[in-house]
Amino acid sequence: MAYGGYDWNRRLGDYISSVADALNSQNGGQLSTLISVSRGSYCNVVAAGLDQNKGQDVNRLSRQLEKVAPLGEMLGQHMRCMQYFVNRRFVDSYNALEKSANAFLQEFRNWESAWAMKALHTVAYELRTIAEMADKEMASNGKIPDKLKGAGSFLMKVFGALAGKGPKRVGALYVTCQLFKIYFKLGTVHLCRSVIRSIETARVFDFEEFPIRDRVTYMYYTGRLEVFNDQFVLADQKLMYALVHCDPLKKNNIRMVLKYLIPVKLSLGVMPSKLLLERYGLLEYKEVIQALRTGDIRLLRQALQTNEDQFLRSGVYLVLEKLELQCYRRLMRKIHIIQKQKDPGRAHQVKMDCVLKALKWLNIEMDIDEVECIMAILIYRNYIKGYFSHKSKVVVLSKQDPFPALTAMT
Amino acid sequence: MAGVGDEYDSRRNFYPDPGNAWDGQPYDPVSQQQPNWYSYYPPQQLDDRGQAGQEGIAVPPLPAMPPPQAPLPPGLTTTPTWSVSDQGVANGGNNTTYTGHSSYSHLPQQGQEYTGYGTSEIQQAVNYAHPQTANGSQPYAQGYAGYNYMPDQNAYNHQGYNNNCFQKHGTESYTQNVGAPYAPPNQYQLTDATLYASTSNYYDLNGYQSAGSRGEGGQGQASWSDPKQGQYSYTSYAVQNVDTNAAYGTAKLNPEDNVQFAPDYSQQWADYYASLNAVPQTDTESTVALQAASSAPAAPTPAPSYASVVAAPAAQQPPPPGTAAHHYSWQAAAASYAVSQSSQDSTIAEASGAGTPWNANANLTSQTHWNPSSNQTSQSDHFNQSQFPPLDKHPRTPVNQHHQQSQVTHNLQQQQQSKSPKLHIVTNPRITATIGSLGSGKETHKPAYISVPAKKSSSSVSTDAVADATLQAESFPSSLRTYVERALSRCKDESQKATCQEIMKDMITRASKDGTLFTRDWDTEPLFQLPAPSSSSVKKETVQHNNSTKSEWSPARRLKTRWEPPATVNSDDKPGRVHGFHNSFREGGHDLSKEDSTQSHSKWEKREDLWIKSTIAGNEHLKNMSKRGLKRLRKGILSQGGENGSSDSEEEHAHGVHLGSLSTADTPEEKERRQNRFKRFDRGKDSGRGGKGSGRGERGPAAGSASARRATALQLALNSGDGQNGRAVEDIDWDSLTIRGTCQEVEKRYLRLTSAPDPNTVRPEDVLKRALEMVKSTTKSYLFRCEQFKSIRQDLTVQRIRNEFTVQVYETHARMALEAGDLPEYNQCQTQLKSLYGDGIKGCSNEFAAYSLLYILFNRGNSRDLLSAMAKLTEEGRKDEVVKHALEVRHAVAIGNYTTFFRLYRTAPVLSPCLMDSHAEKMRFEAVKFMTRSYRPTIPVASVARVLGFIIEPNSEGENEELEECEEWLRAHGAYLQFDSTISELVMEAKLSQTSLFMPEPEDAVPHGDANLALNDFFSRS
Repeated sequence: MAYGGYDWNRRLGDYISSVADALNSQNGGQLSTLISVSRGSYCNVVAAGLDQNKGQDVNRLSRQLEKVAPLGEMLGQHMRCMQYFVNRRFVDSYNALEKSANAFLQEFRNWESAWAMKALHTVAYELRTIAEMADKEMASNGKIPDKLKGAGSFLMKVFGALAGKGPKRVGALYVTCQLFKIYFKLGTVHLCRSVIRSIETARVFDFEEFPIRDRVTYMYYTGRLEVFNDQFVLADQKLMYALVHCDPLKKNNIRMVLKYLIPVKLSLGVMPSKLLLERYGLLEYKEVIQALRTGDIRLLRQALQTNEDQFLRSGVYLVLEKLELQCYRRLMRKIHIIQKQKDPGRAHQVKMDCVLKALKWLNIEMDIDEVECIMAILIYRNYIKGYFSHKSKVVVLSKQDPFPALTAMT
Repeated sequence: MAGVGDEYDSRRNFYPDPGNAWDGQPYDPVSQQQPNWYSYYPPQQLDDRGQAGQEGIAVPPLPAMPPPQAPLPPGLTTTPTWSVSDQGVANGGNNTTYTGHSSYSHLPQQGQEYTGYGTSEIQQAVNYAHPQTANGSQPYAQGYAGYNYMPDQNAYNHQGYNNNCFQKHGTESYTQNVGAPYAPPNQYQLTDATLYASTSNYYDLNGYQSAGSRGEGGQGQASWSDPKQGQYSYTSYAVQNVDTNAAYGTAKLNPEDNVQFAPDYSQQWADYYASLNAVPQTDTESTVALQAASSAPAAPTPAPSYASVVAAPAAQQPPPPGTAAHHYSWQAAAASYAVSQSSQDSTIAEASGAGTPWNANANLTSQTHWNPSSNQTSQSDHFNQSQFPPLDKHPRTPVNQHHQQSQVTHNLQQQQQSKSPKLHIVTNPRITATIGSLGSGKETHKPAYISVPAKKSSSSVSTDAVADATLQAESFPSSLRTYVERALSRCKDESQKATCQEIMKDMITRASKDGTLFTRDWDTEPLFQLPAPSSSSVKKETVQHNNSTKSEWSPARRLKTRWEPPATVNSDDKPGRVHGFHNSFREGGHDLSKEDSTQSHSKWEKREDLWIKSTIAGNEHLKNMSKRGLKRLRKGILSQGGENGSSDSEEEHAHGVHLGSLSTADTPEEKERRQNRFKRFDRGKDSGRGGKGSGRGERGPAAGSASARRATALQLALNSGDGQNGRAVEDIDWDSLTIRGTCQEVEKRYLRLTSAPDPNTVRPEDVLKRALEMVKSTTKSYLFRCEQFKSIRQDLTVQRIRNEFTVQVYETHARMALEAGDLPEYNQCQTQLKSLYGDGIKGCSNEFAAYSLLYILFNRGNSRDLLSAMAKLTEEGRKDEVVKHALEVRHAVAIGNYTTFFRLYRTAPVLSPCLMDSHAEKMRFEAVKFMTRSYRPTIPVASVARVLGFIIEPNSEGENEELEECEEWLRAHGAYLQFDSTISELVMEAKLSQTSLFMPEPEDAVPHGDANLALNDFFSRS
């Protein structure tokens, strides 16, 4: 190192002074930059300083820390966290960060205004990020990773400090989103519910008052939750909100929203354009959509099979799977159209034989019982208007609007 | 299309000038196309595509276009999509609180809830007036005596027996009260609690009697008098009490006054629920405080100092009456009562929830707070019964007479009480444990008192005194008190606190000088900077943490918000506390059972001690637990009952260990008293590890020490359950704690362990192998085999055998359970198997993956679980026949394809049909619903029978029978069947049946909802 010990000490001192300045001037943004670990530029400075220091100058340091009282304890831990982070000891880093965050949160509670919100958000972000890294480290060491879970509990605490009335509430949604990220990552999605309820039941605070980026993230995650619950209409609403409000420059975010919005829209009978898929690289849906358009059940099954892993992981598999009925509907519709061209008078009677032939042509082996069953389901679900005559094995379509719009059904 | 345009318009609107912004970007071409990129099927496009992409089949434009989606769903901000009923038990805590809060902020509701209070208050006031005149010379005792006594008079018509009792009690409380004002504040707290204890001891009777005799209003009064007089017994209690009475007396029981009280209290509660900050004080309380102060001369203490303690916000230990302290003691109550709730019949909790007017109006949150009050009474009834056998017999009869109008709660409780009280305690160990747990604080929390002097250094006392002297107690606005509390709550140690108090004293003096004391908004006043804690004091604190649980339940530190999950509330690890808590339960349990046998009437003092402890235990505990935590607490208690395999003796051990560590920090007299008590318990005063086995003769000393080690480990494990110190568990050397069985019996009855496993009764692996063979080959009933399996599993578990044999046992048992339709048992095995396969132990993992898939599909219906189960399937696993079948079944169920489902049902491999059984009925019903909706005019029953799997093989001999079965089934589900002569077949009238279908109540339905638990049915199946 080109710098001597003194120099590093001076730099540490500078760092601490600037934290003290930020505190005294209540400059949340400045403080946030200063305490950022994983994406801050001060991290290396602090870490190098502490490494050089090697504990020789503890007194000096602690004297310096007194400048930032009441956050002295917090900053001490935080600097240690930075040091560990740079040295890639993430578990230690996380532990130090949690202590630091705890001290910070206690102070934050006492501040009446929300000036330090940005800094608190940084802490929340770092908690999650470093916890993820720590979990990776623990897993590779054969330990049971629990840091992210711990971060989840801690963020609940942070959420508790924000979720009440008052100026701090505006920051609650950010923490909520961080919690969502943790819960989705851990697969403990059921924990989201309590947070959601506290956000949605609070009439005191209008949802629109939250910062837009948090609103988009929130809607994205709650939309995904609705997909899990098979609540497609709600999912559509939420994901559309996210899409509409998402920064158009954040291509990847839009893609993430679309990844869930497209299946939801499909199940509501709305198809995206090819261009959209290409623009956002969502080509895994291409064949599904193609199949839906053509009524090609075989293609749909193939598409699901080829992308099964991907769809299972993202959780849309079960949604896409149910599109099969729409596919049958489209097939029926095509048959109906052909019949209409041939014989408009009898076009509303679709014989089972025709359907069987069409399916056979698609290489799908089904016997008449199965097709009957599918017809019964289609009629029951109102995908087709009409009835099925068991005696003559004919689907009699309604003369008026035999294929009602899917979008009108919900 | 308009929709597209609209949507993009809104986008553009949102980003004020997208064109410009995008022009500068490399995305330029895209922005040109932007209006199209999420096209909702514009007709032209479809046309094109239809012509081009559909193999020559021309498709005209679809008539029905999807309507444009509203770009901003209007319902978004106002959709509470999570219905209350949906509210999971697991995470209800936070949210119920929240809803609780919101409902509390509605005034009309308050009105409803609290009217009862207003009226009953009058009656109470009447009661109070009487003793005051009769017994004026002893204000303290009189307050109590009157309070306890009067309802008794109502109920018992002046029985001399009662008089004695209460007089004694009265004096007791009196002496303590007298001592209180003179004593240093640290003992103040003690007296406080003692007072509380003694009141609540008696209070239960009052609660009942007053409630009973007053019918409707009575319950309100019971609830209200509970918090106000019974449980809010602070040092100021007597004074307050007397004074309140006096106030009522002079006001001639003006009902308006009382009614006014009600909203105030409700306000207080609302505040409590809403409080993320300290609870603002209501006017009522301050007036009460003032009254207390002004009436102080009546007390045998110098007025100023007394008032200072009462009103001085800085006096932390006895918090100002009616402020947060109320709530804390409430919390304490709630905690200890939650314990009782969990331990008592759930019906009681329910009854009290439903029966009381309060609860009827209140929401969940309030229930958790209120239920306890009724439970508490019942609990202390047990208590009194055990203490005074003659007493409880005596009053019960009149009570019952008076209670004819009373609520379900009381009736229930009385029913309970009408049983032999002793028997009750003995037969229900949980209750004993609970009561004990209330008394538990005795040992574990004693140090808490001791640590108080350290906390309340003389400087702080004098500070209070000075502040009071300068300011007079009356002059404190309530918000200031909360402010002070807030400030103090930040303090981490004594020196800091002292400094804070100095600062605040200055502040208050300044404020009062320039007259801003009342005008300033203390609620929004920023807190001053906290002085740095001195290192020595920090050290001291850690020591204290190790030795005691001192600071954890001090009110000022309890300013936590209800948002916080319990696990993280105490983010600093304090194993000692957790120990203390767990132990407290056990300790209490033993205390009581022991005391039961050695009880005598002269044990007042101890009784009270128990109650003090109970307060504190509860207090401390509730602080640690949010509402969610309470639930966990209950669970924890239950699980400690045996689920963790923790034995009584283990508990004693663990407890003993703890005792040893705790009993160090005592004042001499405390110590002496406690030692006496210890002697009474027949247990050495340093009942550390090892020495405890003596009580139970079964185990030798070696086993004793082993179990002591285990107990320690168990404690660590329990602590880590809070997710706080998982590291400790890793350090446990489980191998050295594992036992090796020596039992050679092949057959063994299953008994859920209630003590540490005894190697003499545990079979080693080779014997277990023989046992497995025996069970496999036996022809005895499922019940026998299941029991044998369970005992084998137990022996495997306690010896921590996890190998292929273990897998074999679980697989065999799982299959057997499936065959018998015992799904709960199957699920237990499945869970274990999952973890065993996860450890890489070989077995039929594919087969069981398939079962698991079907089980999730049919029994949980959660698409997330299903997805994760599917995602876990391996590539090779998917090729497995059973898995393939399961996946196909899943697909059929997803689509609703009943034909395929019943075909798969028929061809299901191995035990899959057993799992499908449960769903077949549902699927059939769905199918018939589909059919009746879609088929016109009729469907032949034969084809229904074929499709729905009634006919297994067409054209076989049994077909007619199967057809009849189907016919019966259809009729049973409300289908219209008739004979169609044209095809000479029985047909189902689709249109008529469509509306008449219903799902009949299952014939084997059992009241408790789990048919597997119906023994008769179970025997018949096995």
